[in-house]
Amino acid sequence: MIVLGIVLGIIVLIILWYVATYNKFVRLRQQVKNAWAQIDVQLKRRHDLIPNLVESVKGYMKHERGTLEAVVNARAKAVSAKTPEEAIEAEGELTRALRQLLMVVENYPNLKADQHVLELMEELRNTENQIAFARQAYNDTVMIFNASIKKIPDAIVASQMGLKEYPFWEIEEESDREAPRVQF
Amino acid sequence: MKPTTFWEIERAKSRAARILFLIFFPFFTLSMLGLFYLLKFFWGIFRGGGFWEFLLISSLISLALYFMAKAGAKREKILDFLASLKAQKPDLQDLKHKQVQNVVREMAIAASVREPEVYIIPVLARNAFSAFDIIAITEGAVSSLERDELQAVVAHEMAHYLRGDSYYKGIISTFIMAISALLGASLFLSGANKNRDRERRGGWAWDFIIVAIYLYLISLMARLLNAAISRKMEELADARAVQFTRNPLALASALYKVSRDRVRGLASFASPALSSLFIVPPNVSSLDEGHGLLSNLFSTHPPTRKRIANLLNLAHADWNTLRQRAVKKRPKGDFWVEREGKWIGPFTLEELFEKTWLKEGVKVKGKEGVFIFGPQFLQKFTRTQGNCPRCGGPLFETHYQFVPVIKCGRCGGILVREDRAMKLIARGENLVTSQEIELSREEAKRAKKKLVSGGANPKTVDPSAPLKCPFCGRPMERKFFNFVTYTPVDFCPKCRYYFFDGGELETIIAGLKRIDSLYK
Repeated sequence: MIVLGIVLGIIVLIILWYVATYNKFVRLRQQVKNAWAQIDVQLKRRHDLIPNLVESVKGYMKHERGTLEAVVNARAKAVSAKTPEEAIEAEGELTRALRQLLMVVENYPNLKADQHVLELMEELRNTENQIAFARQAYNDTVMIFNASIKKIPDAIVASQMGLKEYPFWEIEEESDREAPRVQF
Repeated sequence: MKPTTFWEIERAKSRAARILFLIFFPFFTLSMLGLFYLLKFFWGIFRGGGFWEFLLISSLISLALYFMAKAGAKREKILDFLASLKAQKPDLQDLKHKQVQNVVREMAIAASVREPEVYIIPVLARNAFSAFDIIAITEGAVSSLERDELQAVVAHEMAHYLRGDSYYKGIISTFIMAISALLGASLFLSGANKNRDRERRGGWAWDFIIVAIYLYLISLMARLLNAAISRKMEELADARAVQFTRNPLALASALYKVSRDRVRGLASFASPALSSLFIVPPNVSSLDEGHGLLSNLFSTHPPTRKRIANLLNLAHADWNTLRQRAVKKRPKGDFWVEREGKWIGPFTLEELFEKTWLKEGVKVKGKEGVFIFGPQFLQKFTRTQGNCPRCGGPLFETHYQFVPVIKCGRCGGILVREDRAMKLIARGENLVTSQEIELSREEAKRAKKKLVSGGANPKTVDPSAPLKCPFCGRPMERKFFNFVTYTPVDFCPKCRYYFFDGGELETIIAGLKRIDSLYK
């Protein structure tokens, strides 16, 4: 009778643990997905912003046609990307092109004195930062998720649920870490 | 390094409440228990009560107080406080405010939480606070901080928001207030009963005094506990802010700038109950910046110097870096202007328009040749609208340190919307020269003299005919902008626009700066 009671108690405990762990993983997975969705939103925002930006700096930057074209082309590629791999690569290219543009802008005091351009630059900087922070949040969440599905004994539940590690959004270069700097 | 997310806010709140229960609940209960024993001893109240009865009643009182405080900790109260300060949502036409809004959005993403509400408080003090899902920054802070510094300040506030710190602070202050109320009552009673005792025993009301001393000690201990927890919260928020921005130098630099201008908080705009919510204490006291035992025990914030030193350590930087950062960088323009036979510059268009001595007829050199400053120049480079109420010169839209204003091209008068006027003064701070400060002192003296002889009427300082509002055509009111400089300005109550004569704005800015320097 006592033995039966103990066995029953253990079974109940295991079920409780299983349910709790299951729920934890569901929550974590949702967080990772949400973090990813955030990045997506920001990337779309950036696509919308670029035509406006290029239009307003074009007049000032007649000698920088190459830089502007690089931005326009990278955007076109990013918008038409079909697979996530393509998207990641195209977005990386776009980030680099924009960074180049922001650097060039530094050489045009006229541009920096124009209120409208300043506003656009602020928008661009905001978007770039949002992407960087969304990526940071995504990576942090993925780190927690990946670590927790490998922990024993939770790993048993994870394998039953068929959970796999999510990939980190790797940063190509060290300089990518830093948001573009526009000085006022 | 566990990032807190939106779903964890609720849990953070309950965690804060748990700390409260763990520490404050037994503390308060035991204090009440002691009080009951004192009541029984002196006056025989609850004579039949023993330890367990007293414990039960004390626990019930603490519990009731806790639920009362929980119900009272409402965000409406913070909104009322903000409304009393005339705080507003960021003005999105102003680039600096837009930056604040953007930075909040960025930090919300970094913390993966829903975006909190932002308010800008139109005071010159440099400070910021958060409560519930509200973040408020003063105009002074917005004007003096660079983008990454604003980001760091917002990240710090976001950390408080995530941990539900304000909620906790609200509850704890209710407990402290309850103790203070009891203390006040006992002091009152000791005074009221003094005569009674003189008749009976011919002395002081010792029983009441002992109760008062007991309650005083309790309130002291409550404050100590509160201060210790609050300091921990600030440290944690600093650490969390760095985790969000990965930029410790920016936070160090922001704290450096914010703490160097606290003299403006002389007329503190926040009540003491709210002051622990701010990033640096809004009322300067030697207590908060001291290094002694007392300040270590009672201050609700760690010494700012220590906070900065910790952050500098993280950033592998030193104080010199901060001093260099504090020097403002401005973009280079390409306009030159003739003054006293010399070309000075280069200025951007905005910088040019900020010069009060720029009047019609002055020569301006741009990339496209030399111009005479006047209507044609303005038509070419700006959007003009209407005529100046003072001199009839052409009005044009421009920006004064990113604040949209309308300026006269002839006399330099400035029209600004009422809600932007304080902002203009906060921004202008970096522009005034020592010469202008001297001028403002003279002007204030003259104005005061006239006032003494003519009564407190702005018309005695400026007796010219009332101006007509350029937008609605009605006569404008003349009033003092403040009672520091006694500068008479004109105001249209219908369009809610201020008109500052050329140079008046600088007088006001310089006047406030002069006050500031008195206390340095």
